Amino acid sequence: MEREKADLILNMGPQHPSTHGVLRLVLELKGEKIVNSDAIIGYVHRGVEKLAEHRKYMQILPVFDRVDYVSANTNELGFVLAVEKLLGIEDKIPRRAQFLRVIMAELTRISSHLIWLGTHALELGAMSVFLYAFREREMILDLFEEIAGGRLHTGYMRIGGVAADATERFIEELGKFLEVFPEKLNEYETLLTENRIWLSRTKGVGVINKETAINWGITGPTLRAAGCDYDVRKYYPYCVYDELDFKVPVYQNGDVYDRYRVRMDEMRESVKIIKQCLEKMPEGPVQIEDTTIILPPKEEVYNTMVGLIQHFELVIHGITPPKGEVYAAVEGPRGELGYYIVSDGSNKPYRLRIRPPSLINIAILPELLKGHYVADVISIIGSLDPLMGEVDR
Amino acid sequence: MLYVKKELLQVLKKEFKDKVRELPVFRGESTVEVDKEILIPFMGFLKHDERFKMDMLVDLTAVDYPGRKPRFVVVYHLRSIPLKHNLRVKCWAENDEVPTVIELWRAADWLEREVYEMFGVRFTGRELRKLLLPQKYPYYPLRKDFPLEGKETPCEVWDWE
Amino acid sequence: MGVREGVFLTKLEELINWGRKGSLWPLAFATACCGIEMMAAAASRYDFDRFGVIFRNTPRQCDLLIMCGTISRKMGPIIKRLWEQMPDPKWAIAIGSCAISGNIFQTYSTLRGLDCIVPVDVYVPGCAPKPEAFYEALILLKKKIKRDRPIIVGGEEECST
Repeated sequence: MEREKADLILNMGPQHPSTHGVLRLVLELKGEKIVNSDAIIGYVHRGVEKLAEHRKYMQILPVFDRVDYVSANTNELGFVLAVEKLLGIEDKIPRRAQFLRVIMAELTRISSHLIWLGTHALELGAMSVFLYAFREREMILDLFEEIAGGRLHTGYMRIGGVAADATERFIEELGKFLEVFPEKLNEYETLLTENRIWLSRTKGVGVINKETAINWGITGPTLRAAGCDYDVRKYYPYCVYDELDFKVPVYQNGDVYDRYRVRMDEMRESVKIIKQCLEKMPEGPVQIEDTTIILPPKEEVYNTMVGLIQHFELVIHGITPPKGEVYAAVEGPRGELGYYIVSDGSNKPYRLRIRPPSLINIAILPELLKGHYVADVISIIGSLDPLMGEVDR
Repeated sequence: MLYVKKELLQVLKKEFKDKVRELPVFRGESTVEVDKEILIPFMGFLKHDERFKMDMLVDLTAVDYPGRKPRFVVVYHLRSIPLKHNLRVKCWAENDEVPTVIELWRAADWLEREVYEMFGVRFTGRELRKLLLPQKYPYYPLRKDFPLEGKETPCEVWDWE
Repeated sequence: MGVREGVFLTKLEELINWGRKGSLWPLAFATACCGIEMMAAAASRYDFDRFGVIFRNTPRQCDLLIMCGTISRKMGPIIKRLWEQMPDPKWAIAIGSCAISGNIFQTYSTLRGLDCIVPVDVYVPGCAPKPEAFYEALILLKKKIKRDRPIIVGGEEECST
């Protein structure tokens, strides 16, 4: 196919207010239409996969908080599920811990979608939605601080359970949040869903149809807006998702507007999931009984010999899974987040690969932008929702 | 996660004889190892045959075993959305080269570029450019003999390009 | 080029410093996680606008560089260029462990801190620091600007702490 000659080469550099981080696009323009483009990434490349080969399993867990930094709990959950599969202890995790994991994962999903909504609307001109979305997100961050100690990087998951039990205050505040939030979602929808400017900037823009999406390996809300109902929580359930009743929103057109609708509906479904978890959560321990995998409680460490020795072993040497390789995936807010771990029987992973949903989602950008205007680039990047920390790792 | 059942793997063995070997099942995940020469027909068979219908390439990566010859193994994770099963395919990179699967799944585009820049495995049949590192970077970081802190590189390597 | 001290000039200096510290305009620039905390600091609950801080998108109109996030070696020349594009007087705040010393990412592709490329005025430790730490940084910077001597000769040595 002949390449059209371009009049102007424009660089949307790494420092740009609307590229969601450090994404660089080189656009070849003819007038205002894009004839060709190229995406250059790697400006936040930190070498996490290399770092993971030099750290023990428990030591690398906090690093994954920082890979996809707006959805920290989902990252950690994926890694913990992969290691538990490697160790073979998937069915020994206590029920209360599984429910707490689901609650934290869904709160993370709502928090990530609120950031997406705020920044996407801000870039397209609706600044009040940014301020409202961040106001609701502060309520979720208060909940995270209550249960895990950190706002952004929580460090809550452990191999064999979770770090700590939910306090009374957490359950109370969570109940209040769940009552308040659906009305706020209605407010955002009133501002945006039928707004003429929003519709003209998002309808019919950046269309990806179902076969293209599957061929390019796209997962997450982008695929569900194109007509395919693939969601890891329904196809390959993990934790207690098979006992919960929720819908997966699917739309047919595959444009920016449909991706917006999918994510708004996902936030409502997450609220439903958390309500069911709060009703069904049993009492009980939150960590596995086996203290060769998880640290023993402090009373045992200070008072018994066995507890002290096990604590020492775990901190100095760490866990040693058997030889083999596993792949485990969770449904992150951006798509399927997968972990492929190759273990050689020692206490450090031999190879740890993160399957980044954002990288595979934005690989389609150079093809997709052809024929669009420069102003549409902002809508399209916002709707694909890339997170550069995950793209570059 | 649902992986391809043993009976279906027999179909592959009948079709490709001894160029396809089944590896032991670990934690319910089935893996096959394939020779480099029949990689493209094998992948095409997996994508188009009615019993497999693997229409999504989930991930493409490589692992480095410095003691072995050949040194690198390229690992493909494939999935079928209609039939819901998965398969892991491994292919040892003789001469550090492997044919490209970009004609079958476009998802392989950026994934192969990343494997090339991190390990040095070439994919024949397409143009390769580095993805995350600068174009003039002289080393392959994820190899086992490359230190974590990195080696000395001149400043011009990291300049604007 | 000496200007000797006098009451009029010291009062003029105070006026200039008051103007500069009351309206610091930073560059909206975030690389990684700390950028989310910067956005939260500029949003509803922790509002930065009441300090006179308005985020600008182009470095030509800014006088403050708030560096949030890990600095990779590929990004280094770009930050240097942004710093050079900012007109004098300008200040820099390094937010988070990654911008101070590289944090846990001591690998082949990260810079060990912002002060490898740019002279930093205030360091904010934490990973990620809470927005209240951003306030502390801003107030410390304002105190530093208050001590500045822009007109009177020999004043530069005093504000070098």
